[in-house]
Amino acid sequence: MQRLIVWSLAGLILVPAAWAGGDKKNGNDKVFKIEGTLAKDDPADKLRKNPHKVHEYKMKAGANYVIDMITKNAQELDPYLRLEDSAGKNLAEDDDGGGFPNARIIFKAPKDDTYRIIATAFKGVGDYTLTVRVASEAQSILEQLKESLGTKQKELFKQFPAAKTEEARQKITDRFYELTADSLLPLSEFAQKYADDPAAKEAKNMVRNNLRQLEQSDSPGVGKVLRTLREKGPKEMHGQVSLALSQNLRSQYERSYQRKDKDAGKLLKEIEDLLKHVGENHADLASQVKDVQFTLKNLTVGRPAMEIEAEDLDTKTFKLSDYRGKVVVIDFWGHW
Amino acid sequence: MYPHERSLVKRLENSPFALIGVNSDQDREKLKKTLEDEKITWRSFWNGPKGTGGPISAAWHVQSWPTIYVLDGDGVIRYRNVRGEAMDRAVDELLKELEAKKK
Repeated sequence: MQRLIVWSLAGLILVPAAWAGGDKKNGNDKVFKIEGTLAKDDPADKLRKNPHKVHEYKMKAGANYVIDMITKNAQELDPYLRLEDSAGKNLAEDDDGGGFPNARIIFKAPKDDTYRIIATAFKGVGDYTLTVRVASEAQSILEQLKESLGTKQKELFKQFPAAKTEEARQKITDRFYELTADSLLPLSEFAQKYADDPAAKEAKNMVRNNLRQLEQSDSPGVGKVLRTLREKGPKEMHGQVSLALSQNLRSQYERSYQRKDKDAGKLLKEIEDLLKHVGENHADLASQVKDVQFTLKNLTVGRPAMEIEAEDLDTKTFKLSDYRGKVVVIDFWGHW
Repeated sequence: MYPHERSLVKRLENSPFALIGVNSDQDREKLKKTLEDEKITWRSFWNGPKGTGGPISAAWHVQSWPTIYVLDGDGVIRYRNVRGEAMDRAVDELLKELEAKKK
């Protein structure tokens, strides 16, 4: 009897919550789910030109929605999603964002509207499951982090065509990388705080990918952020951050070597110590550490070039060192 | 790339300078026509039949083409991935340095 009361109480609480969303079918805290089929004779989508079906869905201004289109048979249907407002304006599209071959759109509704979800195909036809759910709190926060980074970087992109000198362009590139670097600490803090939410995994992947991007930057600003992240960021990232920092410092070292700075040697020592430390403390990164150490020794400004001995295009063998005493440009090229 | 390299090689034909390619085409025979058409007179190592997967680019960790290194007269790497005018400036500076050493 007691159990029955508990159940009915739960029912009482749950039912109004489902209604609160307005439209019963679109109850905002429920997952909206449709089993659909794309057939060859479905009308062609105006943009994608493949068969499509339209699913209308009411969204509330400011809320984040996750729309998934999952194929039932990856051999037959590679799904593709588009999203339009009620007036038919294309707002978002995606091919493999849900993990190949499934499509996912994460969308923040700018206004209350009945949106048109276009379920179509990158390739093929067949059965699919379409779900729409309100993003979790964590997912929404992650979307905000992504959006704020994206907006700032887009603004920078707009300045690029106006930058006339190499210096001006370099400044924009540096700033771009610095913004990426700035995002790392909030992202990794987020991943720690919401460790149980699937969004944490996405945030971690972003951190990893962004770190890899930053390896290409020689901006001292990026180096500074990486140093902070190394001190304050999560322990599990320590090794990756140190590796990225060593790459960044390597480029900085090359610049200072070219300027004939007195402190160039100090920088080099710092990189060597850093790599040694990572090698000793992160067994999983051993091969990457070795790579950077090799690069530092053999492929870095200030180091003697490695010997090359091979045939030329007329099958005659020669050596790079045959050209000692001359200034040499080595150009790795191909005609393709 | 070719026109700029051609003019660099031409401009410095009487200087202690060499442009050395490392070519990553798989087929050396087919390339002969390209050398002729594009007037590529400078010498290249051949990266072997595996093309971009060949031993020289692997030893040098080359991941994108073209990749450029500029060496001084002692065979020391002094610049990486300089293109266009920046490449000319780098070469000119190193030639000046070489000249100063001889004196």
